[in-house]
Amino acid sequence: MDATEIGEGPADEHKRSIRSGQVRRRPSGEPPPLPRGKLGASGRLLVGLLLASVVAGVILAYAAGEVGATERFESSVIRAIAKLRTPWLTSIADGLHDLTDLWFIRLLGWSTMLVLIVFRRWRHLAVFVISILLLELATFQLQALLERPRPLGVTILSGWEGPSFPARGVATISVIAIGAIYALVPHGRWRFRAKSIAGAFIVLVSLAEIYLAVNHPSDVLTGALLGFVFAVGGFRIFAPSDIFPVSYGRGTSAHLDLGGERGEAIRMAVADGLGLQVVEVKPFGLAGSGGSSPMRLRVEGGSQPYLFAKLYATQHVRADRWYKTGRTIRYGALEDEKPFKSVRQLVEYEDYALRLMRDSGIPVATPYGVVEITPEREYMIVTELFEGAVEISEAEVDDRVIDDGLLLVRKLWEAGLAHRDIKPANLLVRDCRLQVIDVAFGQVRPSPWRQAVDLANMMLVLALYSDPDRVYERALQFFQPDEIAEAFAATYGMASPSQLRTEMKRDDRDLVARFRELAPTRPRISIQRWSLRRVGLTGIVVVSGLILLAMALAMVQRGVL
Amino acid sequence: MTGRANGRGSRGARRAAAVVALTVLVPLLAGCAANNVAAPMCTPESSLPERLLVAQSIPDASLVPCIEVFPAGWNFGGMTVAAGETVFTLDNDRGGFDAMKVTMTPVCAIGDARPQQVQGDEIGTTKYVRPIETGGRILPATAFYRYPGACVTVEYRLAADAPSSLFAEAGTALSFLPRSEIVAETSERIGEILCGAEAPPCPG
Repeated sequence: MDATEIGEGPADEHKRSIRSGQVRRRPSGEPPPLPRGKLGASGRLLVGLLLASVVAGVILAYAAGEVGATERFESSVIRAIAKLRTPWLTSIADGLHDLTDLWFIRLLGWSTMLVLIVFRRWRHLAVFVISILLLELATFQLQALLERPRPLGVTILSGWEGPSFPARGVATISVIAIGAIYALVPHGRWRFRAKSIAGAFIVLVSLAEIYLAVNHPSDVLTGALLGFVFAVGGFRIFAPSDIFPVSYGRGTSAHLDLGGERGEAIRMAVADGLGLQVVEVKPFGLAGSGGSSPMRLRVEGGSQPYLFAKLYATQHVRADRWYKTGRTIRYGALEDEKPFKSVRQLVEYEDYALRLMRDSGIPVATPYGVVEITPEREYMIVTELFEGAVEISEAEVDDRVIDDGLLLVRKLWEAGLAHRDIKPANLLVRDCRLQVIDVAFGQVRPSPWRQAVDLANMMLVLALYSDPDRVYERALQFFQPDEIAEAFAATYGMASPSQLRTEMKRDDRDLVARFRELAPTRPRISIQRWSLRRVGLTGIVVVSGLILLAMALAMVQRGVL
Repeated sequence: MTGRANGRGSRGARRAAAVVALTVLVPLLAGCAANNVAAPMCTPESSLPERLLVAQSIPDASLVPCIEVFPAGWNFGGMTVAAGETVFTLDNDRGGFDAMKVTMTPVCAIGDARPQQVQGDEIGTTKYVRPIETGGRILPATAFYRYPGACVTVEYRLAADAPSSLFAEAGTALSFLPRSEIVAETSERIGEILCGAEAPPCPG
């Protein structure tokens, strides 16, 4: 049975559902399955805090020309609070104020970093560090711009440094505490509790600052808000929990939540868009998917009880953009590709790639189509599920499977296509036949280098679970020795997907070296190619790095440490 | 196998370098206390906040150091101000960065510095100078100004071959403002009390 035959059932089923009127067009004005524009509680809080912060800054900037009114008002508030001063309250406030000193901030920052390093959570670490850096930059500039004196008309009871607005110690504690929570505490109830505790702590420190007359009320308010906004903003934009979850076990929290409103929306969208009744939505194959939220759908009434679906959201497009930018910088022209501009574009491309490969005789899952969850924000691609299929690493790799894999690459070459992500997780075996999945990275009319890499990666995967000599021998049925030599001259280091590299490292055999011995000798093909885009992007990264370094050095020069 | 081992090693080295870079960077950033305040000019027409911050740093100081004028070739380097200490520097096109460093603290150790007669704008202070001999010339390396409530240390960090006129120029830049004047200015312009010496008592 070839791939086209596999796909005939579902396609017919879809046509039948259209004929029977089960597919429903959403009329104009009717909301989509999951309407957009609903900000979560923390989103609303974030927007509110941003606005409040901006308003406070503008008021103070305006008042800088005519400082009297603002200063008199805030001083009167501090004086009123100063009337409450008692020795025991002052010692408590002093203790809280001491927490804005370097030792506590360092301890908090270092501990967070240490945990992130131990758990190898590099993205969270980078976001954490950069949030702190940007906050320091913002508070530094605001202090220099406004140069607000410390509170007047009341005795200042504790130490301070620099202008009063915004309260830098409060801002730093806020960004580190909130950042640590977003970096270390899993999303959900525990994070909410941790945020509540951190919030209460920041409020207490802020009150202590006002009580001691070290800062004005607006200084601490703005400082706390800035810290919160930089931490939450940084993590929500660059390490959203949906895509980069904090998890300390083998949980299923690695992707978009498929329950609740979204679960209902998925059911509604599949019913309307494909005419199929979804009985169950279950996360599926999470380990092998980082760029989408994969799931298994149990459907009623169809010829196949289970379907496979991948949900794409704006976060996935953003992650794809960063991933491609990183690859452009690291490898240059060979991987110099434009990122997708929208979720719609991404999901349309995968659907197109599936259909193109299926039409070219590549054994891929039959696409059912794309359904809309939230216009321009969330789309889902639905395909056939390879029931009973196992990853190639768990299957017996005999000559039939080896031939299937090699023929698959031959067909890709003949169709002018490249898969670009051939690794064990993307090769499934069902009934002793090989199937390929995850074609989102596929490319039409790829470079010869990329095609050669596909062949080498396929041979490496096959050899991992069999024998390189046997794979080489079978490959000679489909490829010329020079073509195999080209494949292994092009493939080294990062040209192979990381999962394949990891598996090869675990293997005692040096498979690449063995294939190079078997194939005719050919000089290595350089991966590194330069393009204007690569030069530009690298320049931006280098300049940004130098700016960061200069800022750090400036802080050292000023005797901070 | 060797190649793979090397590859692993270099990747490990890169990761280690990245970790070291990050771990060095964060402490530098977290809780940084450096501040960037404009020059504390003596003239009342200039911005008040800088003078206020300097005055607030040592509330008992009866005089507040400030910059009277920038002689030709002299520029403001930078200032950090904190409770208990104010430091500002002046750069010179011939003497280099931080050619003159002014530090106000509650007290200062004058050591073997010798008393010297004060100039007109230094009245109210007792001046001490610690000279150094360099290139056959005796130069005023450090000057101390003591007055009620505080002490100002002026360090000259000019190159050994710097012209002697630079010392005189630097001397004209620094001046002292009676705290009472800033107290009055604060009351007049803001309507608030600058707590400390020369001011009515403050609550708390």
